[in-house]
Amino acid sequence: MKNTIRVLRAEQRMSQADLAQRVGVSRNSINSVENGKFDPSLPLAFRIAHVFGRTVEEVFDQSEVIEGM
Amino acid sequence: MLTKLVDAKPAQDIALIASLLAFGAILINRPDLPSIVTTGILIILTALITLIGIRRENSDMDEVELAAVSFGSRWSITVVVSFMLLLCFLGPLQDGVDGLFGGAVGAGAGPIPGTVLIFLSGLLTALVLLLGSKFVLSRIWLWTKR
Repeated sequence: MKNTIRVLRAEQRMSQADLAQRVGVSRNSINSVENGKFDPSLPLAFRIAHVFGRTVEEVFDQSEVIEGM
Repeated sequence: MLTKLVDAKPAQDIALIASLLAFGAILINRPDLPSIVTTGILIILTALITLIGIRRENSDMDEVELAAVSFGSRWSITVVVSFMLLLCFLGPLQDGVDGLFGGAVGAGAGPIPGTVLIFLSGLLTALVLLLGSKFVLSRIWLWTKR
């Protein structure tokens, strides 16, 4: 799933390790989610969005998911 | 202090390996021990390994790692079954296994009868194959998600 995590991290000068620590997963997992290789669970998506002060829809692009319906 | 020591993973691993080595040494040096004692020790060690494994799996892995392990677990069964099928039909593989275990199994080892040894070696090989392929497949899955 496409997302804006990389952009949001850059805006807030946050490393992958920082984000990983704040949401309680490994840095590799953040890397997988950021590159769109792994779709996070709903709780993790909410936690990531919360860290950036955004909604889930603002962080994750839902168009691919909806088109596939 | 004690809690910290018990929670430390390297300490747990070292303690378990030491226990298993001690158990092996007891089996070799004291074959006259009643089987109920050796079986009891084996059951306790197995239960400890299982408990630590479950605790570690639940506490340490995030969802990506859990997905990797899940993938590895599912497909490692296929690896074992494929190996079994290959073993049924491939002569060179049969010769290799025969070369590895044939001598020891035919005669039996000490108090263990040959048939039990065949069963144990099969079980052990399946276990090693299952865990090894689970580990490798999990790592490959994680690598593809980078």
